[in-house]
Order: sequence, then structure tokens, then C-alpha cells
Amino acid sequence: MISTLQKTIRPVWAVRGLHKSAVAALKRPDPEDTVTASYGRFISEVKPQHLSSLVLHRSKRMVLDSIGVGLIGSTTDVFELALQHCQHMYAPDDISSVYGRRGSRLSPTLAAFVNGVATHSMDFDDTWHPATHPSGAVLPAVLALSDMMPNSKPSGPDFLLAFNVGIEIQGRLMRFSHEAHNIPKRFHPPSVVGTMGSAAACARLLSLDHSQCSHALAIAASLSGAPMANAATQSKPLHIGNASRLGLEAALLASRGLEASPLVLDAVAGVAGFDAFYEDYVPEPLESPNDGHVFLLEEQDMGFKRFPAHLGMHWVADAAASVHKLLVGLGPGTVSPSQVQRHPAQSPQIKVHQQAIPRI
Amino acid sequence: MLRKGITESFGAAIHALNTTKLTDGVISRSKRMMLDTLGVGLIGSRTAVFNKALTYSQSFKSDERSSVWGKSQITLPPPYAAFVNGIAVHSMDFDDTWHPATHPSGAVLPALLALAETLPSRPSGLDLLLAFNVGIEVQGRLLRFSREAFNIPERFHPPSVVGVMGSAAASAKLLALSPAECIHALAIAASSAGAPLANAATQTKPLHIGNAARRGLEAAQLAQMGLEGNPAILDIPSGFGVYYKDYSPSAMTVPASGDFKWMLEDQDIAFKRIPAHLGMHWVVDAALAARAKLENTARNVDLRQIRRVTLRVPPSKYVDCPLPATEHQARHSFQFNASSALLDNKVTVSSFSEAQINRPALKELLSKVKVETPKDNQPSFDKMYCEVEIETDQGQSYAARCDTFYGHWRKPLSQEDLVDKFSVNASSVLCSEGVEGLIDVVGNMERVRECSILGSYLRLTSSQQEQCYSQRRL
Repeated sequence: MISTLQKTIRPVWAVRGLHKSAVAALKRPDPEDTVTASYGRFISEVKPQHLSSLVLHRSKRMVLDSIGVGLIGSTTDVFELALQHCQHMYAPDDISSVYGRRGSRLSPTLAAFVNGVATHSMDFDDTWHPATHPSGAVLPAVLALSDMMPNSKPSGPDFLLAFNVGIEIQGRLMRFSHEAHNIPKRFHPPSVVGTMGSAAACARLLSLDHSQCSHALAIAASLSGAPMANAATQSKPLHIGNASRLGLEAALLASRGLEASPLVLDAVAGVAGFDAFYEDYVPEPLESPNDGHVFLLEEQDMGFKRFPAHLGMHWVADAAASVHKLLVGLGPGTVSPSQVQRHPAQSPQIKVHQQAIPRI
Repeated sequence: MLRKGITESFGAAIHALNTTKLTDGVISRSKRMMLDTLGVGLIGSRTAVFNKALTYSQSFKSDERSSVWGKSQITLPPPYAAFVNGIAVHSMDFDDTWHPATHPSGAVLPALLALAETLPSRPSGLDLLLAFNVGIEVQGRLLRFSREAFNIPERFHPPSVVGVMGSAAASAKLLALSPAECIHALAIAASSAGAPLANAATQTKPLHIGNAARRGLEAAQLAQMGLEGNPAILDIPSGFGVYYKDYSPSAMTVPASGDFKWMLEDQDIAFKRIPAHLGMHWVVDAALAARAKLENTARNVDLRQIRRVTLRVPPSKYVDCPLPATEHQARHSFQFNASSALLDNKVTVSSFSEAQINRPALKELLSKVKVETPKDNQPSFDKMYCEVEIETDQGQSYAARCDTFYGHWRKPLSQEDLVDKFSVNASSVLCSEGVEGLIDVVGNMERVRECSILGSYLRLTSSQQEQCYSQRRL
């Protein structure tokens, strides 16, 4: 079925097509000048002394809160299920610790997985703006990796640096789109930026070179993205667990020389990289840590939860508590449901949170 | 949440499909897919990306172990066996391709074989065929939920979107999960879907298939342990619909009595003759035909007399690569494949080695290649064509066009050529007993008592000649 054309006649319609030649290849951007390369360089060059005292203080609060919610999270059903899965399908491995279980250790990525699940199991973990739960994706991975490093265990400053790199990268990536500034509708943010943050943090802790750091991010991009529909289900904590695990995995694979797209963060028309996860996307390079770089945590503090529920619930609960105070004063009075005729709640339009009578 | 019962119908269908619903047509086609997949997986076990993944995977401990294709001594935890074997299958871009576009078998078969080796129920060949076809069918159904899926992709690499769902469905079938558990396997798998296209044409691309296999298997296992996800995952736009710009799902029904219409019966699969992106097959066939014309008129083919080569191809950025630097880029380059075909009069496995990519004669020819994307050339594997036109210094012009390459679903590989491709691939790693054993077992799969016997043959490497004799069993 191979048809032929006349030897000497060149069809006229061919002229309308696009013309490309090898010369065009020379006009591609210098590989060192890309957004992706700037991220690789930042991760490999940043040092503990680049952390200001405010960033140190804020990130220590995050670490403490994250460990706490992870520990109480280790008492949940979903954590137990995830742990049993790992112990059954794999086997105990005397490397990385598991939250709340003295006798159990797992191989590093699996420990990162279950500890990440624990952290997000009660929706009790920290929330940032733009919205994501940054610590749960990073801390379990960094802890698991620290347990794995054979001879030179990381110092406190190295550990905090890696943690902050993981947070910073997440914040920067979320600023690439307007979509990320609103409560999400398509992809659950921790599954998008959390994996990238974990990869960055682990690449930093492993002291990978700038090229390996870039590839760690690119490998992680292929492991990112989970739909919002699984939020408000038992699977949601796995989004954080997997972000942590797969980011660590990406960094480990990069350390073995695995390579991926050198343009994953840059917006290349017709071939989606990290921009696959967003409707609008404008990436910016990350400046060198020596060039007046300021960590986002310096400018944008973290939200910690007082009770284990989606962040939006905290506004509603505080408002309801204020109404309660108006009704019964500051004493130990109660409001009887029969006294309440109607309570219209005004809240932003968020489908997944509008559950009149939740089933679980 | 508006539930149209679509996810529910998938759970019910996966559970309800049984071996009586398998038709001769679908068995025959799926056995060809299995054989081809094993072959490309075996030759893929020689690649650098496979070795990196294998080294990484060996750091995990487990009680249950599954075979690594092409390795006589190494076993891995089942999810990681699925991971590395899936990577091997896609490592050279040599595996099957369907329409709408995806590589369906690599996401499913490695997961099923890894799982089958550990199940106390010891599934038969027919059980394997059923689970395999469930995995393929689910992928085909999901691909028809959007128009976007019908064209060559731009955002997400399809195997990473539908492959993990197929693997979850197939694994759920082999594990005989309840309808509710099947639903949750799909829901859990959806949270593992979606890798961006930018990693195609890189060393990470094979991991998209490896991870699809692995994570689909894990999703089914987690569902078996009672983990739940969103039971309307296929129904709602914030579920599986996030991966597509237009999304219109429909239910899957299995008639209680009477025939089930498998998609594989309506839409056959393409097998590759060259370890490169499917689009390259058109351009190579056209280039070889144009070269033949040049050879007919000029007695000595002097390629230095070529002034310009024009390729008329569909628009697809990730396979438009004028000067590939790596083997991965070379497999995704219209320009490279056309030039290799013109220079060597063939394109084979060895055309993509570093030495071959860096040949000065090839680079010189590449500098003369020009790509055009005519408006009538649609970026769909069902509709595209390729034209190659050679212009010489003397002003002569030789052109040829390929509408359907040999191996495409419209022009399927003969059984002889399919088995031949498998033999060449498998022989790079296995001894002849292993090669022939696999041809025999797959050829008679519907009569095989225990499908895990495939694992024994997949480990009969040629460096272990004594093993070929000691492990002979039926």
C-alpha cells in the first residue's frame, strides 16, 4: 500500500507545511539556562548558612508538629493497613524507623510511605498557602533516608537544610500557576508538588550534583499527580505517603544515574512536563542561594491545625464557636438542637466539603 | 456527587467476566501479544535503564519472591518484579501499540506473572488469559472516554494513565476480588496515574510502564486488604477525568448469558519491527521505498549526492528531533530513523547504539533532513502517513509514501514473522530450550495447567547451559 509520487513534480501543498532543518536545532536554549537547570543548581548549592533564624524557627515548629500528628496518626486504621501491606508484601528490614512502633523497621521508601500515611491519616497536618500539606511529604522521606545513610549520619543543620529545601521547592512550584492559589479541583496538591519536594529534599541530603538534582525532579514528575476525588476517602493519606516515598525513590534512582527530561519544569509547547498538572503555567528560574535568595517560609508562614479536619473546617468551627459564645456566654452552657431553627452556613464553593450527612 | 453507576459497572464487569466469555479470536490475538511482550522484555533486560532499576529494586526484602525475566538467579518482591520486568518491556520502545494509543501489554503482563507466581491457587493458563484480557479491555474502554485520547498525546503519557488502571483490573481479576473490591482497586490505582509526556524520549520513559504494572498490582492488593478510595472514581470529572480535557465515561456491561464483545476483537494491535516510537515505522518504510527507487535508476547508490531529504509527517513535537544525542532521543526522531534507513537500508536493534548514533556519515545526512507537517496529516496512529522525498545534487527527486506499515493493525505481522521477532529477541538472553519452551507454552496457553511455568522458562539463560538440562519439566 505504498503509493508513489511523480519523480519531478513537487506537490504544491507541501509548501504550506512547516519547514524545519537541523539549523533550527542550534536555536534551542542553552541547557544551562533552563528553569529546570536552575532548580538543580539551587538544590546542589544551598548550604545551612543560607537558612535565616526565622526560617529555622518556623521549620522547627513544622517538624515538631509533623512528628506529633504522625505519632497520633500511627493509631489509625489506614496506617495499620498500610503497615501490614508493607510488612506482608515485603518484609521487615532493619533500616528505617516507623512512627509509634518500637519493634518495626522497614526499608527506607516503605518507611517513608507508612509514616507519610500516618501524618496525613487524620487530616491533622500543616497547610500552607498556596494550598498543600508540605511537611508530610518531606519529613518522612528525610527521616527514612537519614536512617539509611551508612557512615556519615547527617547533622542537625544538614537535616534542617534538606527539610527546608523540600518545603521551598514545593512553594516555588505552586507559584508557577494561578490555579494553585485556589482550593484545588483537579489534582490533590500534595500529590503534585509533594513528590517534587520530597525528591528535592532527598537529593539535597544525598549531596547529589546539580545534574542529578535536576533528574531527581524530572523522575519525580513522572510519579506525581492524584485526582481530588480520592480526597475525603480512606485513600487520601496515601497521597502524602506516596509523595514521600516516590520522591525519595526518584532521588535514589537519580543517584544511580537514571536520567529524565532536562526540561521538565520548563514549558515546552506540545510536550507537557510538570505543566501537565496545571491549566495555566508560567515557570520562573530559581536564583542562586548566594544571590539574595529568600526562602518562602520567611515570607509566608504555615498553618497548623487545632483539630483533625480539613483546613476549611477551622473557619467554620471558629465561627460556630463564636456564635455559641453569643448564645450561652462564656460559661459551660450547651445549645440544644431543638432550639436551633435554621443555621445557614456561608462558606466558599467547595464541592467535596459540602457533605450534609457524612457517611464516615 | 452525581453517581452514574459507571465505576460500579466496571467493578461488576471485572468480577463477572469468566473464562467462558473468552472467544477464539481474542485468545488468539492476546497470545500473540503475550509472546511479543515476553520477547521484548527479555531483550530489554540487557539495557542500562533495566540494570539501574534492578539494582535499586534489590534493596528490598520480602518473603514472597517473583521471577525477573532473563535472570536465572535473581528474584524480587512481586511488585518490584512487576516494576523491573515492565521497564524491560518498554526499555527499547519495542512493545505493542494499540488504538487509541497506548502500550497495553507491558502494563499488565509483568504484574500478572509476578502475582501468579505467589498465589496459592496456582492459576492456570486460561486464568492468566482471562486476567490479561480484562486488563487490556479496561484500558481500551478508558481510552474511549475522551476524544483527546484518539490523537498522539501531548500532556500525559497514556500508559501512565490507563496502564495502571488495566494492571489494577487484571490483578483484581486474578485475585478474584469482589465487585466492591474491584471498584476500590480502580479508585486506588487512579491516584497513581498520570506521568507527563516530557519524560518520553528519556531514560525514564520505561518506568512509566514499570510503575503502571507495579502500582496497579499494589492497588489491587491494597483493595484486597480493605483499603477504599472513591467509588465514583470513573464517574466524576475530579476523578479519572482529571487526565483529559474532554471526558465522557460510559458503563461496561457483561451479559449474563450470551457473548461479550471484546475490544481486542474489533481493534487489533500493532507490533513493532523496529525498537522505536510507532511513528518511526511509517517513515522507515517510506524511506526504504524511496531508497529502492534511487537504487533502481542509479547503479551505485552514492548517498553523498543527496542534497536534501524532506519528511512529510504528522505534527508531534516529542518525535521531532533533528539531532538526537541519546538512544532514547533516537527512538523518538523522525529524522534519525529516516536517515538510518537511507544510510543502512535497514533499521534494527543495533541501529540505536551510541556508536551508530554518532557516525559522521549519519550526522551529515541528518543535516540535510527537513521536516514538514502537511495539514492533511493527522497525528493519529489510525490516520497518519509519512512521505520521504530524496533530492539529489543532479536535481533528481525520488519519493515514496507509507500509509500503513507492515505490523500495523491494518497489516498485521504474520504468525511466522511474529514468532521470528520473538526468537531473535529471546535468544539474546535465553538458551534455545527457554526460547522454544516459551513459544510452546504461550502457543498452548489455554491448555496450560499452571501458568507460573512461564517463570521457569524465563529464567533459562544461555549462560547456564547445565540448567537447560536440569530444569526440564512440563
